[in-house]
Amino acid sequence: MRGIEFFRNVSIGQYWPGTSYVHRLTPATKYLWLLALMVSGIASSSYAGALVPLAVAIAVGASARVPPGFLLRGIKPLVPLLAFTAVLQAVFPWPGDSSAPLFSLGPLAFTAGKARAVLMMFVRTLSLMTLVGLFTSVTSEGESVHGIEDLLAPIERLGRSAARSAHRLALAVGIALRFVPIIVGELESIAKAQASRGADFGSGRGGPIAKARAYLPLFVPVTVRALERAELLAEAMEARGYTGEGRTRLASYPKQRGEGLARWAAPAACAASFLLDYVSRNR
Amino acid sequence: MEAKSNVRKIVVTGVLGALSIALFLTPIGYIPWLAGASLTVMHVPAIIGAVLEGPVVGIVVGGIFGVTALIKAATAPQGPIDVFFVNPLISVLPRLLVGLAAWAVYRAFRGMLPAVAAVAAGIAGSLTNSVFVLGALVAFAAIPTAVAAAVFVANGLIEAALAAVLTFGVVAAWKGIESRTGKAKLAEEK
Amino acid sequence: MPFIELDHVSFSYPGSNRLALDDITLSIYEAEYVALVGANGSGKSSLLRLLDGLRVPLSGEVRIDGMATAGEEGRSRARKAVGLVFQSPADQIVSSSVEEDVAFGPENLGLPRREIAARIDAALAAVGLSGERRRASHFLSAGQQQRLALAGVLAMDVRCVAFDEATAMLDPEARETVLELLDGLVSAGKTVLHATHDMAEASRASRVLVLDAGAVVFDGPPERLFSGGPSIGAVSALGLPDCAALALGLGLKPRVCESARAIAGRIAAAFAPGGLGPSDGDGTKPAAVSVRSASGAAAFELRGASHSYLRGTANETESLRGIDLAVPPGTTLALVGRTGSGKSTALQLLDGLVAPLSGSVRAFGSDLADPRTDLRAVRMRAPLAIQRPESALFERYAGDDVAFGPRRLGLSGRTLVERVAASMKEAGLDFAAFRDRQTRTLSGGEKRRLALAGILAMGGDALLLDEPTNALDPATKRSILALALNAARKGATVVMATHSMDEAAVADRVAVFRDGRIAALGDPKTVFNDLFDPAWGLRRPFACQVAVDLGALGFGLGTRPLTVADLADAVLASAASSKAAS
Repeated sequence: MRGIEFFRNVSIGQYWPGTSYVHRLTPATKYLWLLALMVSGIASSSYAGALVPLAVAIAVGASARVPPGFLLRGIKPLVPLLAFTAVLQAVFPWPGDSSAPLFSLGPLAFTAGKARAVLMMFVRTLSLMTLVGLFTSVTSEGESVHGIEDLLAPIERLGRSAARSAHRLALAVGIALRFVPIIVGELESIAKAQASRGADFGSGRGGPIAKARAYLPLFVPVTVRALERAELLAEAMEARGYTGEGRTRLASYPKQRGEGLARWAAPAACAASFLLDYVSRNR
Repeated sequence: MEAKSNVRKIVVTGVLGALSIALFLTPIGYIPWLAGASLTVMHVPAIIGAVLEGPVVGIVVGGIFGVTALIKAATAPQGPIDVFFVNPLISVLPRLLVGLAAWAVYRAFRGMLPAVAAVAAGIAGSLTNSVFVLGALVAFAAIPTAVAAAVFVANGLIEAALAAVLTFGVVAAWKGIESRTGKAKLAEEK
Repeated sequence: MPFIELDHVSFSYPGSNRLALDDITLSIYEAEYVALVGANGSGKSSLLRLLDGLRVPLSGEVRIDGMATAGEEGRSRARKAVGLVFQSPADQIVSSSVEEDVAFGPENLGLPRREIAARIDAALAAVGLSGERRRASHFLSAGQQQRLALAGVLAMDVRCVAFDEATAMLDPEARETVLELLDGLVSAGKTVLHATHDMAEASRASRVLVLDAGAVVFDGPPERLFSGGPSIGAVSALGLPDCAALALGLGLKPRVCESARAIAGRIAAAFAPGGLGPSDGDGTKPAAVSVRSASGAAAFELRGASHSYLRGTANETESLRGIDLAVPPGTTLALVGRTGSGKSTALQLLDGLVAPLSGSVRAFGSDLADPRTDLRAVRMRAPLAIQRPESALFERYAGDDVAFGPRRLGLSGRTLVERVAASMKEAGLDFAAFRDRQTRTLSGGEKRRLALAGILAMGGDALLLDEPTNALDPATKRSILALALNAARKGATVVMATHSMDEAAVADRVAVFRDGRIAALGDPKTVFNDLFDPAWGLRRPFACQVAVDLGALGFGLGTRPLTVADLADAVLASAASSKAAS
């Protein structure tokens, strides 16, 4: 379609509103689970270990009444990906790979070692995808920002400047989310202004190089505008008494029944996946 | 005033972070290049944050960029390589280093013309992005080493040049740095 | 004791030699409603920022309740006493959530949660946004965002609210809502400072301070300002409010904030003291519709065009619903309507910047949906000046920015330089002085002129202008409007979206937008008299409204004036002729 329109969907991640127990957990707990299971997902060396986040995500998703189809919609692109990667890996030799070739076609060999690695990568990726998808389904934008502050709150004991950092980080992220629609709108305005003077956007012509040349002149003005707005906002924040010290916060997240247990369960789940690794290694 | 510069840092982080995210959501983020791969400029705000406001800002903006890549990979992946970015060691960690590297290089070159320092920071930040992202992809068996090297040569170097141009452009405009002649290019037209 | 004092305060911006404020001494008392007027650069904004501790004076002292605002403690006290609402609505909002944004100030004060919640309730109620509490802030209109900013300030329980040209970017209806809120604040006992370059707004205050080149040249009630004398000089550049200008033009004593109906009453009493005959409607005959006849094909044509934003998402909004519009070449068309009624979208459809969802668009005889049409050529032939000039400028140096377009057209060398110089001159910028200026350092008005120079340099047949006089001071507004009319005189087709009915009144034709449809189309006299419908949410040009009110009182004019000058002439002519007749 010809025409300049950037404003598609301004949201990243898909929140699925609900009132389940999972939804009502404090954001700090949700982050704990995310981080704990992410570690399992990344660091496991066995299929079982790497599948722990997937299993947990599906189970928790069910109890949060998030439709499994919604959660697992990432699987579809994963299949062609697997094929693509397998082909790539088949084509290129791996240094130090001495496992038995499963399939070879002349100089190209797909070895058992490669097969294991590709499959592991697939499992890991699926697991992490579902985990992150679940997190964004049960955590609203406000919760994800406040959660950063709450999660890092324990470092307050390290000293005042540390405490301020947690809050500052959360504030910066909150401002980032707030400004995304403004920046997208700005990009659109600038593109239209430049197109009026002969830049080549959305006119349906030009190969990739022409397109690149057209989009680049947007970058500097949009960044400069963003910085100008930052100055205005900083002024407004100061005028409203922001000093970084002595702040309270409106948003509060009451702990649910069993929240403490839920928090301890997170690293426990992570440990479980490492246990599975150990078991499968020494079988 | 300490308070003033703190507020500014927070807001600049937020705004450049928003820019990174916005680049994800609009066509300008990916500039189609040869062979189907595309150049990205989404890491440049982190470089600019580092140059203008310091390492912390650069690191956090890089982090925001990385996390956005992660979430997008998990919920709406677009290409085959996209999906791997659900792994934060591939999507987030390298981008934290982008801001750090850019700042370190900027500081090292600060004695020279600010223009040179900005260009160097741009190159350093972009190369850091390319090297560590590609490296992480290889480490996790997503792509073979040979492919990573090819991508680096085909994309990474051009991206670095692009990042240098953009970083310089923004820093020069923002700080009001005069051009070599102090006049508009128009002055050269006869 | 005065609430706020400035004691021999001087101030200049860092890096500038010029004094923005020159040895100012003044006192402001509790519950005063003070307007600060002056042209851009007169020092209004600096003064307000000094009160809040955002800036520090070069010399002299700023005191609140007798205590200096210098130092950390002084600043903290100042910010609890004085709140600031800034010009750009979106750039004051911290959070994506309305509720959280209002909470920002109280959170900074370290108040307990319950107190914060109570204050949010009160503040949102005070500005009329209670219903939007749970909404995302970026979905609010500009007027609503400005009210949100005010709520954020009120939640801090300040005793004084200062508005730094906070109405400049709003459409007339939103502006009126905010001004009414100001009135409300004053009745509630708050001190209000309103910096503005609109004299009509300033007249609402009880005390007006006129700043010129950093000094206070007038300090007194608005009536005294209009009654003539040396102070008139200072404000002549700003322009008198219409009611005052009309009164003075007719030899009547100007009154502050006089409505059209009130002044019509006074005029009738003054010029027809013998009583009036029975009212015969508005007593004027519809003028013959005179539109410059369309010579050949229309320059632009929209048929059944529709468009919507955020298509496919939960927040999809229709911006245009099947509109038909034909713009004959060489004519001027003004687009009026409330913010969000579709004016900007319509402009962007005309030269192919945006494609319609349904319906067709033709420009210069070509169908823009046809893949063979060179959209880029069309856009260059009918360039659009977007609303915010800051976003339209992207070269580091002013001269280069204007040169961008002509370069794309293939000009270079001597011809290029001449084209740039001519365009800048037409836009009111001296080529030699501005060529090597960095665009970032230009003032708001200068940026607007530069953006227009860039558009003029395209040498196209048409000009599409989206609210070109927005947020500018009155003198610059007149200058920009003259620029547009000049281009039209030279034969260009000019389509201009505007919030000012007075500006619309000078166009050949006016199109009224309402909810994405065209509610009326015709020459200004017809649209504002015969076709006028209050449901549009617009007002008539002041002179037009007075003429209508005069007609309702039985004072016939015989013509239908749209400007104050024409109205004054018509009144005098009518009075003279009826005197001659009697």
